[in-house]
Amino acid sequence: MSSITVGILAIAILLLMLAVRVPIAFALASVSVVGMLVIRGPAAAMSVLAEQPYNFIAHWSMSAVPMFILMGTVAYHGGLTQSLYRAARLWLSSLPGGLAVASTAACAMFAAASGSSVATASAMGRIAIPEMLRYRYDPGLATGAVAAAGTLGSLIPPSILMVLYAIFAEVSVSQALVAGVIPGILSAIMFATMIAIRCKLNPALAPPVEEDVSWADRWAVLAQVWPLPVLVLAVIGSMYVGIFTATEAAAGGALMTFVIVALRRGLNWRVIKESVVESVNSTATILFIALGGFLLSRFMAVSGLPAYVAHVVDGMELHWLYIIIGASVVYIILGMFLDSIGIMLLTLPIMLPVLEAAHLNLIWFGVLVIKYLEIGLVTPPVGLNVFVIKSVVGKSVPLETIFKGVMWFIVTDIVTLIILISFPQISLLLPNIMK
Amino acid sequence: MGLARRILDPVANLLLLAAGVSIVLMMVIVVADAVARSLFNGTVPGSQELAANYFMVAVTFLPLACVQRDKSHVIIELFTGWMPPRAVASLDAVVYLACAAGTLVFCYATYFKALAMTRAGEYAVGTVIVTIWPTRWLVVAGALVLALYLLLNAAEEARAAILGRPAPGGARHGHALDVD
Amino acid sequence: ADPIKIVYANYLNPKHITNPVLLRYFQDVERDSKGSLKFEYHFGSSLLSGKDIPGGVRDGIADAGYFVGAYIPTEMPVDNFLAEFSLLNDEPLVMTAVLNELELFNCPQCTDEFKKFNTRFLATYALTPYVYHCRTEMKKLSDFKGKRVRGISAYADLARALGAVPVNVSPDEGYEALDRGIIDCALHSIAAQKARSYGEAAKFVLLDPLGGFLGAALFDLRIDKWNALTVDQRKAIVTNLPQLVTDSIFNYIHEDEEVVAEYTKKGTKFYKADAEFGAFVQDFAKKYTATAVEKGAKVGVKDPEKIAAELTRLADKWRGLLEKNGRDRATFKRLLWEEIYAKVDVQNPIK
Ligand code: NA
Ligand code: NA
Repeated sequence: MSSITVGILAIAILLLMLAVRVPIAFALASVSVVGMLVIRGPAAAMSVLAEQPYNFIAHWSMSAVPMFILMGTVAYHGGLTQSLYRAARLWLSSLPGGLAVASTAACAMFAAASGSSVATASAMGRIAIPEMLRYRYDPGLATGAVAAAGTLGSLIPPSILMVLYAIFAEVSVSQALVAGVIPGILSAIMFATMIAIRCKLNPALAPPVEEDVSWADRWAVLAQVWPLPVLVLAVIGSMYVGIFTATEAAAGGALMTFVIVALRRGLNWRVIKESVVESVNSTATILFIALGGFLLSRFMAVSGLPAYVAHVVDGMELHWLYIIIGASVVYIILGMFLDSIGIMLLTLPIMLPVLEAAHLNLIWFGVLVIKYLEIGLVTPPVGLNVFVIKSVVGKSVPLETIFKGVMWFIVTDIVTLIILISFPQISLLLPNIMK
Repeated sequence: MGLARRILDPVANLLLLAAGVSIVLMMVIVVADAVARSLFNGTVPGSQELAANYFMVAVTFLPLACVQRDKSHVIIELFTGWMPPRAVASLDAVVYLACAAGTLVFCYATYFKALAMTRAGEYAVGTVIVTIWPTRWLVVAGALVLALYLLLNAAEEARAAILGRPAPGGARHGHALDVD
Repeated sequence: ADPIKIVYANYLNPKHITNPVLLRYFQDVERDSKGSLKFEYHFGSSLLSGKDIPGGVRDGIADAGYFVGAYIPTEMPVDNFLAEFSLLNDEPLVMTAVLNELELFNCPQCTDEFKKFNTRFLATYALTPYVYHCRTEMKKLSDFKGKRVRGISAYADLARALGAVPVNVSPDEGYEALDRGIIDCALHSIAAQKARSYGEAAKFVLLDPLGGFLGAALFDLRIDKWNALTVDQRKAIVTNLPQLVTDSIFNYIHEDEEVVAEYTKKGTKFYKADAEFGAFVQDFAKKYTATAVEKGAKVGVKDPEKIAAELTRLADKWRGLLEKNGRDRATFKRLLWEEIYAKVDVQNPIK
């Protein structure tokens, strides 16, 4: 049996395991380890278990994930989120799906403080979803909006993924980072538009505000909304004046949240305990799945399957559009199963020479790659951001509901991608100004 | 099974407490290092190694048992929604047993690594040298308690399948942070 | 019969200048083995990260790999001890030859350390010197007082000796840390101006060499695999190593020159600091040998001063050889073959 056959078989078995209620992290990890056993033998399989999980987790850049999760739980339990959403509800009462639109905007803003999509989704999930559910928003819409808008975390700088792409492709880090800004904002606007249209057509998704809202009410509630925006601006500011690195900013954000909650006299033992316990449980749940995804990428490297798929694009001496379409198909397929960094590592060595031969702009392509990786975070069956949201909402919303809710956003993202592919200047405007 | 729970619960809670302390310490040390660097031209030596090797490992591996106790490891229920409760319980018993076996293999692998690293006195080199071998045992401990919970849950589900009464904590996954 | 497959793994970025050199090496070996050997390669950590490679090769996830002891200092103390001498490496050509000869023939502890990973050391190079990439012009020794400077291990000690604050910033965060003034200077090869975009944030590069990393063993093979090969196959592997090593190190040197030319045009100032800085660094490096030996003894390196002396002896030998024969590619390759690789035993398996 060729190793590629083993790879295909492994994917089939993975799907089967997921269908029969095997926890996702266990399914990913065991398929990878057993696959390694089949292709490279028992010593290799044991080696994977002994060495790689520890090295994957014990990594400095990983620390931003628990820190932003903590920031979100403290903000929620400390009561910083309710007043903001009450204000959003009153101010956006005439906008269909106003709170979901506001959440999308908040995600975009939080993305500017956070370097990763998982961190953005987990923090914003805790902040935004309970409030939307409180106002009887459709659970699929509420969770889908944050799972999808959380992916803006890697498109809007700072972005660990974009820096890695720039280093892999040897393009300017600063130009790559700034290239994500307009596409990120465009994605958010597209999401918001889709939400508003859907809620207009089907008001049941987002019950409109019934009572008459007076301007006095609106101004009154505004006085209480400052903590969260101030917090996010403080995190962004402290990064740009050089106090925190992008990784450290997460810890800074968490600590500042504690401080603001304390200043509002909201800090007590119960808040601390619930926030901390929930944070570590969420962190463990999410990173355990991320670890499984990482092991799957490693096993896939051994199987040669992703390279085999990526070679679809290789040797296509075609019109640039076909190359981009081929690459899109490859990234969407790999994104269904593999983790973001793994996909980049497995595909870029094959893709970059093809793109360079076709004289395609690598910064523009970087934006597209990040966008594809982001879509991969929400596509079934392995959609890390969806699992993040699931770990935040617990029993109240089934996983299938989140996946269904997210579908609308995936379709929207595909439209956004078509726009980004048709008009490279959207991505290249800011980098070109910088030059 | 009641006895097993009474023994396992405090152990799992202890691990959870250690993880909770770790996440707070991580926040404090990372901020202290950044503030010392940017305002006082100093550093907290070894802060990155502490954050990565000690706190990240503790925060990720120690709560796994509690996550299993709360049935919070994410699963897909879409394809088994039609099954009667006893069938689901039987299926879960098998799944948990398999997961326990896999976790024990993981324990076995990391145990020998931890032993070797303890004997070698494993350290990390940053701006200073930081001893890190103790963190290897956090992985072993977290995985071992996780495996024991999986075994316990497998037994509980098996009993539920036979008796037709739901197992403690129910079959539905997700922790109870329901919003109402 | 089907060709024997050799799976190679490194962590170098996909576009790293050494990867094409490796590809050429693989082709040459495949050709010289008459197609009986075939390479499968995984660059850029796609199979194993820098930390995972030695264990991965030992356990058969890969057959060959790029070993860097500095990533796992506890498990490769001897290799990491050699890296402590990076500060003394101001002649990458000389030190490249020295390291290969030392590790292959003159350092039983080195051989044993690789053997613990069930691996045969085959080729390494000494990187071109690290330099400081700074946001402001640093001329005098006193300019470093209180500055935040990237550096770990020996380079953290150097920073402290300069009166600066050593900061641990991952290479992937280096550009942003420079850009926002989180650090004043980053420590990296000259090529980082381009490869890691440092040139956009740090316009002042001190050309005083701070030593180039020793301990990047770019091609090492699992012993089982080596033993399973025929003599002719082993010959194909070994006879092409001088080319691999020569191309790698000359590439580095050439790349540094090109980046200096390109980034001078883009407004980066490449310059030497006042003489007192150079003298200080040299003095520090010389004294550091004692520190390194002390550190080595502490982590279980036996007779560390012996290895240090052997390094010095071989460095003198190779300086003389290159002086006499010339420093061009062809000569360097020939000398590597005559002095080192021709002596590798390809006839017998390793016990
Ligand atoms: Na971001
Ligand atoms: Na996916």
